[in-house]
Amino acid sequence: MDPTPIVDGYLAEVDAELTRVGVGAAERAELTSELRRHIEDARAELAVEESEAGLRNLLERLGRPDVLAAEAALDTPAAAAIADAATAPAGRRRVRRWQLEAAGAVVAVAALVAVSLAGFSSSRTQTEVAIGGPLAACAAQVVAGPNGVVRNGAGGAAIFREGVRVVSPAEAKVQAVPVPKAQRVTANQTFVKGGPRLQVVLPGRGVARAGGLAAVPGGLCNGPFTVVFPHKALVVRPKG
Amino acid sequence: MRRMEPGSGRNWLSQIRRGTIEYCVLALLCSGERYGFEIARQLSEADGLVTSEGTVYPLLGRLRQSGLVETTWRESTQGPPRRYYRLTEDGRAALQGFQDQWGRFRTAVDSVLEGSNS
Repeated sequence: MDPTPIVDGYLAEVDAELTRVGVGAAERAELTSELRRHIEDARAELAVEESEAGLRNLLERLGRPDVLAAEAALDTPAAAAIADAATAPAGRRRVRRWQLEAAGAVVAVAALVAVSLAGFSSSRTQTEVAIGGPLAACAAQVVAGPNGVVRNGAGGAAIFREGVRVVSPAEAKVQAVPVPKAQRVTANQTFVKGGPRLQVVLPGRGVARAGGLAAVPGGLCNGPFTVVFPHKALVVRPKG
Repeated sequence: MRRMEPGSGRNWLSQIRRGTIEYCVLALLCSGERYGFEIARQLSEADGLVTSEGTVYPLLGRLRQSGLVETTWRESTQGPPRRYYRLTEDGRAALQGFQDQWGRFRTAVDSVLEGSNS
């Protein structure tokens, strides 16, 4: 039996559920990578020729994709409510899920405060911060406080070039950040001239590893890092 | 007046689980570093501690982001490299704080429950 389609299908479902609950690309990549490694370890532990039923049992033990996704998004009360619904008995879930998703949407809308980047007006009607267009030469910084969550692969204060969604807290500031120096690095090329406050700006889905470990899309690195994908990423050193 | 429903047992269980599972992970790491599969398997073998093995991974991610654990990649004789988790000083302090509180909390709940049976 070839396990690849079943495992890939399961991980694709997990990825889709993670996307649905707003988990950023870097976290999704990290989590599905960890789950894939777990599956490999669990298969090795079976120590007998595995059957499809055995593999499916292993995946069942690993967890339903929607439950895993809810756990991954537990930073917000709305997500916690969705997690409760996902782990509730099946008979109740159908009713509660509808109610909680509606409640979650209300919480999310209440939590999202966007500032128009075009003029930095204080419009609070948008639920997403779309960055780009007239400010293509600048990155934008979302300041969500130390415990804030910004769903684009990082939390707290982070800098993005793409659309971001502030999940919490109730208010967040969006401000332009000049990009004084930019340098392109290619995938798997280790960039060693970093130092404090070196920033990696990755377009869309991307992973950069600082010190060979942490995924920091749009984040600051304190030392050498390697861009894993995509092929090219922008490296900037913010002023200040 | 709103009545508490004794039948809604899953809710309190999930809340207790959510509030304690992170410290159970920290406690597992107290004796040394472990990789994800080991942690997930050990927690799932303790009855009722996790709903499924995979939920351990988002939890580990949160512990890492909050600085309570740190990770190292190690080559493996089986398959790709593994990420090993180990306790930081902050993690050790958080675990100690929890252990102090948990002992008192458990004793208090037990004494009330035992009193109700007498």
